[in-house]
Amino acid sequence: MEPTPLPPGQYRMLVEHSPMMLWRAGLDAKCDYFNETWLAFTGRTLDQELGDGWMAGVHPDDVGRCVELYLSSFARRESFEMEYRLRRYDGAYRYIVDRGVPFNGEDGAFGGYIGSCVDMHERREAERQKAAFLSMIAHELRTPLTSMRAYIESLRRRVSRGQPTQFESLERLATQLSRFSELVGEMNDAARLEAGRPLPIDVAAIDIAVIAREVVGRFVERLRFDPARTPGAGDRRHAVVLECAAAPAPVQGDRRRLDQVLSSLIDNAVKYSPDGGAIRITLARRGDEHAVSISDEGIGVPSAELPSLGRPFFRTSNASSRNYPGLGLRLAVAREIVGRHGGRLWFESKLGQGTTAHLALPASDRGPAGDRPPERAS
Amino acid sequence: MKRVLIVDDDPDILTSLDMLLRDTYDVVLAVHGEAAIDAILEQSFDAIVLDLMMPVLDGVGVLRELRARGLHVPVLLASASHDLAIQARALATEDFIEKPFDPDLLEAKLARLLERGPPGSGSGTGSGSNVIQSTSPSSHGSKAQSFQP
Repeated sequence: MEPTPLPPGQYRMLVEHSPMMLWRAGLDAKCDYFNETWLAFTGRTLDQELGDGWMAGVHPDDVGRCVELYLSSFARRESFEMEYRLRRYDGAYRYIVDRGVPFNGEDGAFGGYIGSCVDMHERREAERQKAAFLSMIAHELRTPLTSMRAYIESLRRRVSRGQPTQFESLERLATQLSRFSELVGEMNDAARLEAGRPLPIDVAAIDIAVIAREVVGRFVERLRFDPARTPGAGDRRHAVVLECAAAPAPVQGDRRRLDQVLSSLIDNAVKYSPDGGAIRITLARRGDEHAVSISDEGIGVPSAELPSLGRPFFRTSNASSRNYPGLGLRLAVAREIVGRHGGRLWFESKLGQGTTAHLALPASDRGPAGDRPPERAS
Repeated sequence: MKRVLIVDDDPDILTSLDMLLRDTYDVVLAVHGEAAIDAILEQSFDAIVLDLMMPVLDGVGVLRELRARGLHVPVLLASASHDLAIQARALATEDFIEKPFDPDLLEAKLARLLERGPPGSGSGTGSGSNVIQSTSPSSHGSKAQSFQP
C-alpha cells in the first residue's frame, strides 16, 4: 500500500513534538530554527537561541571543541556528531549527542544543516559510575594486599635472621586475609543482589551475644596501636565498648551472615569517626526482639539522607569518595541479610555528632514465663 | 636514625609498615592528614610516606599545608589510586609507589629519598604549590585554616 503523504501541517507537528531536539542552520552556519522540544529543554525563547545564541547553553568546557567541530564540518559540508553538556531549564547540565547533516535546498544546492539531539545523560552517568566503581574495587582490594605483603616480608626477615616470629603479626596477617575474603564475598553478594538473586542464608539456632563478642574482640585487636608510635593520636583513638548482659540472646539465623552484618556496621562506625571516640555496641532484649545498636561519635549523616542509607552505591553528601573510599555496598548487603532474618535495620544520626545503627532480630527464646500470652492452637 | 612519618588511614597499613621499617628508621604513624600535620609540627621528619585518600585531611591537603608553611620534607606518595603517576607529577612530590607494593621497593625508594639529603635543593618542589592549588578540591581550604596555632 502506498503511504499517504502527510499534509505539511502534520509534518510540522511531527517535527515540533518529536522527542528529539531539532535545529537548522542556514548557509552562514547560524541557526535559524529550533523545535519546541529544544526550547522546552533549555527553557529559553527561540529569539535567545537563534544565530549563535544556543552556544550560551553549552557547558564552558565543551563549547570551544563543539564550535570548532561544527564550523570545520560546515566548511567541508560533512555530517558530524558531537557530544556535549547542554544546560537544561533547571540549570542542570545534561550530556547530549548532536548529529548534524548537510541538506540541499529546493534548487539542489547546499542549503545548510539540520541537526538532531538526544539526551544521553543517564547512559553517560552510568558509564562514569561504572568506571568509578571499577577503580574503587581496585583500590579496596589493593589496600589489604599492601599490608599482607608487608606483614609477610617482616615475618620472612625475622625468620631468616633467626629471630622469633611474633604471634601477633601472624594473627594480624590472618585477620587481613579474612578481610580480603570478606571484601571479595561482599562483591559477590552485591553481584547477586544486582542480578536479583537472593543471598544464601543457612539458618540455625545461634546466640547473637556470642557473635557480637567475637566481632567486637576482632575490632579491639585491629584498632590497637602502639601509643609510642602515634604521638598526638591519643585523642583520635577508638574505644570499642560492648555492653551486653551475660544471658544468651538466641535467634534463628546464619552465624556467618550476622557476623558480616555486625562487622560492616562496626567498620562503618570506625570509618566515619576519623577522629576516634567511643564505638558503643549494646545488646538488649526489647519485647520479642534482640536489639543491637552500634553508635559512634563521628561525622554523622544529614537527616534528609538517612532513609537512603543502605541503597546500593549511595554515598552521603558529607563523605566524599576521596576522603572515605568504599564501594557503597556493605549496608545494602547488610540490609538484605537482616531482612532475610525477618529483622530490621535503621539509623539515627546527628550531623557532626555521630550515628547509631539499630539492628533488631526476632528472638527465638520465649523470654521469661508470662512475658507473652500463651499461643492458641487454631 | 632517620625519622620517617607514615600517613595512612588503614590501621593495618600503618602497623605492617611499622613492623617492616622500625628496625631501620625511627617510625612515626599518623592516622590521617590532620594527625600528620600535628606530628610534623611537633617534630622534624626526614621523609613522609603519604597516602592520598584519607578522611579529615587527604594527602593533597597535607602537601598544600606543608608548602603553605614553608616546610620541605621529601614525600613518597603511596596510594592505590589508578592514576598515581599523573597525580604525583601534578603534585610535584619527590616520588610515588603504587599499592600493593613490594616492600623491598618501598625501602629502596625511601632510602633513595633520604640519600638526597636535606630537601629544598631538589627540583620539583619550587613550583609545586601552584599546581596543588589548582588540582586540590576547594572544600579543604577552610579545613586547613583550623591548623593555625
